[in-house]
Amino acid sequence: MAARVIKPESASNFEFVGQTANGSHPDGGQVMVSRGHAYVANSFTGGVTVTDATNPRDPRPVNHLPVHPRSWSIHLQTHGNLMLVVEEFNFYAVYVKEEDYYGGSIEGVSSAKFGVRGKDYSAGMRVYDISDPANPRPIGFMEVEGLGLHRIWWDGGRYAYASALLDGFSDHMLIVIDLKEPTKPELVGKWWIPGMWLAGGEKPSWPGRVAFHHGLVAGDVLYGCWRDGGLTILDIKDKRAPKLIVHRNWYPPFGGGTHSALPLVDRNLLLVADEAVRDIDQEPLKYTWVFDIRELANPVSIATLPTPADQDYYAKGGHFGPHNLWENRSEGFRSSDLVFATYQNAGLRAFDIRNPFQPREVGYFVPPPPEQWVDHRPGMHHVIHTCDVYVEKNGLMYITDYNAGLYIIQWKGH
Amino acid sequence: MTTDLPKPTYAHNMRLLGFSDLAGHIDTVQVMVQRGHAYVGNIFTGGFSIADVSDPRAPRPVAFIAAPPNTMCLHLQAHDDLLLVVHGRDGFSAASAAYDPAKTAGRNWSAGMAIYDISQPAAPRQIGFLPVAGIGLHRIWYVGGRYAYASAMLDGFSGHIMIVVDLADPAKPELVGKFWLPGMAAGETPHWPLPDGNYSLHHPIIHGDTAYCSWRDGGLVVVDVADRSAPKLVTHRWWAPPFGGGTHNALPLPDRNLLIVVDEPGADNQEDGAKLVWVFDNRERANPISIATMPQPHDHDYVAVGGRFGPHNVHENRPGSFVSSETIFATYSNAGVRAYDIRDPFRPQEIGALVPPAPTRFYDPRPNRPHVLQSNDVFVDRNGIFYTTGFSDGLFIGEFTG
Repeated sequence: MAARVIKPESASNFEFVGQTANGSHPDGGQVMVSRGHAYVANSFTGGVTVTDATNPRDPRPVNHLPVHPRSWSIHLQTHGNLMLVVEEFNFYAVYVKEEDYYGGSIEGVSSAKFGVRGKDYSAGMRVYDISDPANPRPIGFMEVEGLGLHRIWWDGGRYAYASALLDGFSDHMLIVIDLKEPTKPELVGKWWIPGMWLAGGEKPSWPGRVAFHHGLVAGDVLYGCWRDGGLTILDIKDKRAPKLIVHRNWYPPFGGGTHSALPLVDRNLLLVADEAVRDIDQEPLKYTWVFDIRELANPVSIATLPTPADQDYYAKGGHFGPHNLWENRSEGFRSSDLVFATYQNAGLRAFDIRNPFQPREVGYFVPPPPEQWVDHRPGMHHVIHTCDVYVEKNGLMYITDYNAGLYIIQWKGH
Repeated sequence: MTTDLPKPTYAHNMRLLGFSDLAGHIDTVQVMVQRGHAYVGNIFTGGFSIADVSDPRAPRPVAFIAAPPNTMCLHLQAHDDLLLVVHGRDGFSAASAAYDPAKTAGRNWSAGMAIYDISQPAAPRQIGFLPVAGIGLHRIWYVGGRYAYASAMLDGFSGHIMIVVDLADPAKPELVGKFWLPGMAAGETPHWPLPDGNYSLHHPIIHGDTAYCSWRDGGLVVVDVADRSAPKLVTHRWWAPPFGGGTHNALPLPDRNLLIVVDEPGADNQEDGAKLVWVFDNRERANPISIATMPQPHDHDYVAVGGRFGPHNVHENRPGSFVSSETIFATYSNAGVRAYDIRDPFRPQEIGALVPPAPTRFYDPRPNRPHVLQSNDVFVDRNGIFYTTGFSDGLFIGEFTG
């Protein structure tokens, strides 16, 4: 079969390279690339798809790693010979509407409510050996007492940092995982926003859903996002006892959904993306913020990335707004001047932040409408929802979509 | 007359119309224009000036009202028939007695607020005075109504605090309320982030029952003044460090729930960092969020020009003047006057500039001041004619053509 050539809906400074629907798994969440293979978490069809992209013009799915049918594995991390994959009760199995999932924490959440852990769902983190890239081999599993993990940050090294929903807490919190022995990962530290530990008598005092999404680490500092709970900066010198340096929240007045924080420590900047979690006619526009972090204890928001305006994305419908940032992983492309971000119905966007006070858009790639639809949530708008991006050192990048398969595109900008 | 008009160093969408040296009182700070007359506070020459500006191409100085000895009248507020003028110790005069908060005897300056009747615009008549004990008042906010609000350095405080003045009887003004940050009053222990910082109110701007206070190195302080006699803190935001402090104006744009906040440079050549004009989202009064800054002038290398380079004032949308929540006028010290379009508040654009020439006569008595333009204040009338001042820069009148 000849390699497919797909014309983007619109593009600037990006060129189409390849695309695959990944067989029956066109739904992509987080994506990692290692040794010419893309590992794509499947949000709706479950499990992880392995795609051979050694010829990026003709990527082909070569393997699929299943997950428990009532769990999902929507986030993963690769580095060297290891891949870490979350397993968590699939909330969309019970809470099908976006508002139910994003609007607030689950009332009286407890793993017992959803059956017997290990039997009715799986909850924890699976470790795979990917030294044979097409054939990941499970080598370890860390089960947690709760409903599972949401997302992990691990870029090599001994410790991984994840969001976990543990029994007794109102929602996801930070956990620190020791990978000294990758076959026996161990939960060694926890941190939550005071008010989340219901079993300890704490009482939440906030509107919306305060839940740890994930955090990135630079040095001894973790920059963490808490959906409607904003940003925390934590001192993690002591892995067993992370300490709060500062907590900032701009919801309200802004719309919450704080999703990813990308530290650019060489420039003392921090980017923070607020995820669009509902259709654009159902919530206010979200932004990706630029913070000055010269004073770690006093992060100051100085600007936002410009909102895509090359077409009327409000009229296009569905989610319009930030989702993920390319997180400058050590095996991939690294820059403190150039930012790649997924923007859901507005595709992938590139921003020049050399002047952090006036960021500029310098490129975009908007895939055409999805050819199939596997997102089973009711009432969803049938448009592209560009989700995650992995950027290789040479500017070749891999973007996922809730329904449109895996795109491989090339950055042609400066 | 217009042939004598100095040529601006740079102009974009702005045109110079007129100039006056105010009969030698070129040391100009705050300016208000009402009924065809400009009221200008002088910083070094001890008093304030009045110019007839009914023809903006031919402004004519008509009066200089001398302050009491060793007293500065650099800030003033004109509204209808009332003119309120600050009195404070002239720190630039060698003849001023030293300020010792413990000793009231020997103080040879006037401290307080003078109230003038300006129903005859060129002939102000003092009708009242509010004396205070201390260095005196720095700047006032008064746009009519019963209350005026000011920054005052009073005995017993480490810096300027907010005072509320009842003008029910303008001949008998009365100090009815005070607000300060914890740590400023005698006996309180401050916990300032910068040990050498200046934690002192520059001035408040009031909208409804809220005072937006610019607290120099202390940033932005939002105060509820529903009870004028007992103002209450709503929230306090500071961004120094990492930024260089000097917060100078906080201008609410209530129809758009925005707040414009200006940081003034405190050193030459940006040695205390680039100072910026901030845009805050003010939808939640208790959670103002900085969303953008005005772009810095870049038509010249203003750091190399010398002196202060950075924002000083914004036109404060006084009722009766040019009132806009989309176009903001600011002074930028050696970069003159700038206009910004903030229709997209996340991405303000510069849409006009006027840089008057450097002064030919230099009045600033401070040692080693470079002889460059140092624009201080700007007042814009409802026709887009603007009036701008500077430390040795007299009164320039310009027009926004954008």
